[in-house]
Amino acid sequence: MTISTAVVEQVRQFPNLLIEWAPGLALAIFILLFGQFIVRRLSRASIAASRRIPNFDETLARFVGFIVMMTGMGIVIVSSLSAMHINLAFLATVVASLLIALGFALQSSLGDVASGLIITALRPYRIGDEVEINGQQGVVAEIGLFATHLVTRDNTDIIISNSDTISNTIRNYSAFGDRRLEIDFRISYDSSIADAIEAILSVTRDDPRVRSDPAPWAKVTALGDSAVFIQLRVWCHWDDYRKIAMDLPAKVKAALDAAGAEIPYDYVVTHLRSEKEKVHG
Amino acid sequence: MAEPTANEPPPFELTAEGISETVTYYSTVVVENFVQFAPKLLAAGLVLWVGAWLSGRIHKAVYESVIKSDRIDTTLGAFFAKVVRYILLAGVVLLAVSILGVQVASIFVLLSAMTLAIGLALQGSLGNVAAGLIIIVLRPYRIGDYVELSGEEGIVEEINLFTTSLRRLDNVKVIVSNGDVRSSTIRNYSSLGLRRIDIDFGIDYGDDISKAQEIILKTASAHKDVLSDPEPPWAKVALLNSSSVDIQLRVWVRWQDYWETRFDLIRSVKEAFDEGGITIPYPQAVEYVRHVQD
Repeated sequence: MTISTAVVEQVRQFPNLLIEWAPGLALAIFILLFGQFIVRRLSRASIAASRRIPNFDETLARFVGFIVMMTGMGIVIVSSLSAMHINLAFLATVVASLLIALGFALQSSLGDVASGLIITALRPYRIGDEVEINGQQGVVAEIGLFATHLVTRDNTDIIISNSDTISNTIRNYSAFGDRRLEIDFRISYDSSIADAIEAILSVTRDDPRVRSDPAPWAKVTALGDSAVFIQLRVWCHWDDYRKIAMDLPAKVKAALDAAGAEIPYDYVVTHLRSEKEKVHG
Repeated sequence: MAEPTANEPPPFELTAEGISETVTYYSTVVVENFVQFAPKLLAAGLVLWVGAWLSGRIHKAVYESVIKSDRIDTTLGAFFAKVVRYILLAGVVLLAVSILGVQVASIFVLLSAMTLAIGLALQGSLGNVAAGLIIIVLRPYRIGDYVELSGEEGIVEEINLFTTSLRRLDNVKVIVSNGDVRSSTIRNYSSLGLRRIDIDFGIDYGDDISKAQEIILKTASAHKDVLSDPEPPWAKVALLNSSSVDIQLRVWVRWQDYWETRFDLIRSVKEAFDEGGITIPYPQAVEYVRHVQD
């Protein structure tokens, strides 16, 4: 058999081979095209759905889309290859061990991403909330894929990794809208408690930012060493909290002065005795 | 013309007849393949349809039974029901695909590897989920309880898989991770219903102790929220302090009344002391003065 006849034989066989493979190939191409179409739609839909979730960052939404896309395309490619009767067992094992290795290598970063998703789902805070996370107080500026950004009142950008956020106690000062402000005032043991309380409460009545329901509250909370402690509690919008806390003390001082209630120093009563009286010489 | 059902394809010849023979043969093959494939497709479709319907029903049943049970939190129950549904759906889809003849084994390997990777990523959070489940089963606190968790005091607002939210009395929302809750001490101030208020009052060493006790007890009994059961108010000298004799008052109240009653009693005892001539002393010190003769 000459080379030319062999070649001609191969060429003659080619259509048969093609046709033998055709159904598998057609199915594979169909799965690939159709699957790709569906996966694209799914990915786009998940991005759109993520965007609708309040608190969801654009980065995070795109990331969700990316994950959906990658997973979906992986499944589509594997299905279409196996539709062509290509044995994928070895490939699957390789990819699987790669995934596990990647999982180990990226453990902490993936942990951050997972925590970010949990934060997005549970919404312990939203952008614009005043919070304390991990001992850091500030306004939430950004909830990213790996970290949450807080901006402090003195304008420092604080970046806390999402896993740190979720594994520590979070205080959200603005979650419930209103806050209760508490300030302790000290008055002398000799002053009238009723007058002092009236003076303290009168100050809060002039302030439009102070809520009337629940009404301002002032009671004796402790009998201290040198003074009677009166605590004032007023309800206000969380954003007014700091401002009222800085406005009230001066006003209350003026009101207590006017009411004749004394704000005492620390007292020590000293008994003077001459040395001769000392028992143990 | 060759028989269309022949197993061997007719030898291909580049003539009009040859082409037409080949085309006929292969169109028959396609039709036959389709006929062979159709039942599989039908079965897969049926599995998909029945599976989707069944998982929907199961989801509904689980959801409803969870909602009815008061042992399981509603949000958590909804979550469980959803998880059950999606796991079932994934199983159904895999079954349908395997009926079509696609090798599912490799997909399974990939899925398990992905699960492992996700497990690694969630390692920390999964600890919280386990703690959350334990909390839901053991119920050390319920929604509406006044508790101290990991150093934070407040009313339990929400218990989910990962965290417990408290509403502090000053209306700050505190979110504590369930892992932290489980690994530190939980104080539940409301589960037992009643609380005892302990207040120390310091009186002067020169004052009459029994008179002071009498004033304290009378004032405490007069308060509307103070209970006489399980114990009427109690007052005894608890400590001889550096500048005062400390009398401790103990009264029982409902847990909701704890703080208001405490503050009321402090004020009314102080005012009753003023009236009854009992003094609350300032810190005292004795200074010895040495007179040096020049």
